[in-house]
Amino acid sequence: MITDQKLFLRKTAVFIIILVIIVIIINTAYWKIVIEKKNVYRAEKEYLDAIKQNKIIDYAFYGDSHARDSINPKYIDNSFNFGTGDENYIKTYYKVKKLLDNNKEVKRIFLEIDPHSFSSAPLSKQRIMSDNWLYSQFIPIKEIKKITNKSIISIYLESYLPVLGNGEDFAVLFIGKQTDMYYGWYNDTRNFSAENKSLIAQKDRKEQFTENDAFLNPIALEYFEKTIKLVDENHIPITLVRFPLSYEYNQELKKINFPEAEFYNEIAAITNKHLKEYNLLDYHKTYENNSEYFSNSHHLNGAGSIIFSEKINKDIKQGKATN
Amino acid sequence: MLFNSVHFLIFFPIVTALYFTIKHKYRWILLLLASYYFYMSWKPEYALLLLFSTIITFYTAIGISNTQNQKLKQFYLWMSIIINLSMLFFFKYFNFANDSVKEFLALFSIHFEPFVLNVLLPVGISFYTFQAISYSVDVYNNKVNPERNFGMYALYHSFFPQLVAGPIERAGNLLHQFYEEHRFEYKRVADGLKLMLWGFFKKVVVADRLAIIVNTVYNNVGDYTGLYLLVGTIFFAFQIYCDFSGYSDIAIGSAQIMGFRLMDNFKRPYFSKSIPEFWRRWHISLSSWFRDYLYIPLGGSRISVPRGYFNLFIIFLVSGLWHGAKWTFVIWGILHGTYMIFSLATKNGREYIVNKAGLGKFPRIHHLFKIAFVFSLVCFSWIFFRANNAHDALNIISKIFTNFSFDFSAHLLNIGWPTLIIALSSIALLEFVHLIQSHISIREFLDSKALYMRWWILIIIIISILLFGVFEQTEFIYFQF
Repeated sequence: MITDQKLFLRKTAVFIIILVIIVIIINTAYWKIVIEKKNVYRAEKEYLDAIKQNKIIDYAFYGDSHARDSINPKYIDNSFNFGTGDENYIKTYYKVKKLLDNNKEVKRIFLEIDPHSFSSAPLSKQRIMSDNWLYSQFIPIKEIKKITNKSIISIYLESYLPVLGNGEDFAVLFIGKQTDMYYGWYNDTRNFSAENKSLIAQKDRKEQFTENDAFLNPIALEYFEKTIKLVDENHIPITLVRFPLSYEYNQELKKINFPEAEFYNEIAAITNKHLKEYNLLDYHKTYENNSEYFSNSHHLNGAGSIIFSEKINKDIKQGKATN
Repeated sequence: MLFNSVHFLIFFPIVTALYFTIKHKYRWILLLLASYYFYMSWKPEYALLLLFSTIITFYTAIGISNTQNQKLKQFYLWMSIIINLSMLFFFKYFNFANDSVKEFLALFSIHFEPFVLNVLLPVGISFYTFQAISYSVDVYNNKVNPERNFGMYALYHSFFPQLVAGPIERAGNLLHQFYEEHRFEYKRVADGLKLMLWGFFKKVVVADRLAIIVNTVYNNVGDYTGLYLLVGTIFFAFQIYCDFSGYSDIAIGSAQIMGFRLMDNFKRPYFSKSIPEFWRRWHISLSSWFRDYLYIPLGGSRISVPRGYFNLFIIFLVSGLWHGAKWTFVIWGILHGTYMIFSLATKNGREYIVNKAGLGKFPRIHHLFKIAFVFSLVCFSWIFFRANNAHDALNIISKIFTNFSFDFSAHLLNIGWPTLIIALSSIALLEFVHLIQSHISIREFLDSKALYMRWWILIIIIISILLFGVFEQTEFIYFQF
């Protein structure tokens, strides 16, 4: 029977070697074909290129896809859009930390405080720490383990073999031209006004809030506070931003009894704990009557973002954001 | 510990390697320790329940065997059954019974606030309870000799491959295998690994991917039209099959690697041409348990036809309740009981109609029609099994029949087309394999191919699992039962 064991071990070893080689080849293809086309990768690359070219970053905008789609740095002097899709405050905290570790010259940091920014949905098991191939580069593995409750092995596999469980992403091969991107800004060309607005708003809202959501998830608040503290320790002023939402989305928030006053009071209380002064720019209802500026119920499209970026640039210049 | 976890992928090779390294006389100790470690990785304190059930069943069986007094034998038997069932009732049905009483009293405007037991259901309790009862009954009926070695019995009671979701093994099949010396056999080990691999494919590629769509639809019934709900229901049929049969394949395969033969639990159930046939192919270890330990003791086929039907109905009712402490499971059981009785009662009439209509001349078409009809009936019952409550289930049925439109967008399911295409392709692959299996066993099919071909097939399956698997470590559906 020893022969059987030896035969088994020999064949298994050869089989595993072949398998590992194939997996490495597919994983390399995944990096080239999928990851390099991901917006989060492209945004990171644009940042690294900007640093190489000594671009001045006075104004750094952070948040999720709301920030990413709304802020076009072409229209705001010396700015960079660090917003990425599905970003929660855990990711924001580490991204801000990474920026401040490398670039102390930033003049002001803008943080998104939209209704879902503190909801539990972006902190769900699936969404809390996606794209570990990127985040593991600057978030300690131990911290990711603590946040996600995943094993170290799983985190390493997600970081170095991102193809695992994501084979369907190869469908990107069949997608034509990529969306334009400029210093982190993402150009969505869809037009919300041409869609069934209330149906889409309902679906969008469900994606952003879990059933019976508490609206202010303690983990999100904890990392928001850490971010505020970190920025303050670096003596950089902060502006909080409420990005534009469509009329239909605002109506959806009413339907779920979104407690607007308590929500913003809580955020103000946390912010006041650490900052003597900060600014708040509220654009939630600015374009309620302009559904053509939106790609869906809560994201500005390319055209809308230009108009909005010009407005925020004007507001910055007029001192609304910086006093 | 879940089979689909990194933890198990480390645990199992270590246990297997140690198993074949140590002497035969110590192997049962290794397996017993490994089984308790496996079970305790969920909630360590529940191992005490498992141990308590083991002690009761072991010593009552010794009691049955040591006495010639029939009444005392019966006393020991009922002691084992009652204690084991009481544990099951306490953890699984206590809150359900209280809630049902509360709702019933509310009909008469009587307010009753029951005590709520705030504990998690011990994993696998329904399975090991039934295994314990079968052992006690078999010892009482002299079908098996009672095990005298407590450790060896404890291993039978807790054997990790089948502990938490079956197959529910009989002592006559499994216990003696722990005494046999299993040597490392290349063919057997390779076959076991292939079976495990197929189980993983069914679980992480098919079941867990379909679960994304099914959960979206079933948790938001009000948002979807009939077509989405129909698709969600058909997907659930494949999800639950792949989830449970995938678990069984991993269980049987892992036991096989170490030299143990566990019973088959599924035989391509969706190819059944009648409801009785479906129940001979679906969750076989449970169906045969109900046949041997409930249906036959209630009279089996020796009683009048109406009484036989009544007994069948009771068995399916109990089967529904065994699955879960919810009225939707009870309705599911009632539906299958009704299907079964209707199927048996109309058998001759249906055969007469088939002959008169000349359908017998087209056996393939007739078989396809029967398979589709049985699948539809089973899917209809799955609506109750999966729905969050009876109201949702009725809403789904109503929408499928009255609010049906062919407008379909994957986007509305919060998924992209690739996910849908992968889900459909994996179902197609599954059924293709089932079609092969209807002519030749997969092992024979693979053995008939050249080595390089076999390896390519295995590599494609592994790559499919790695690329298209859902690695969220989703629990197996049957763990809740």
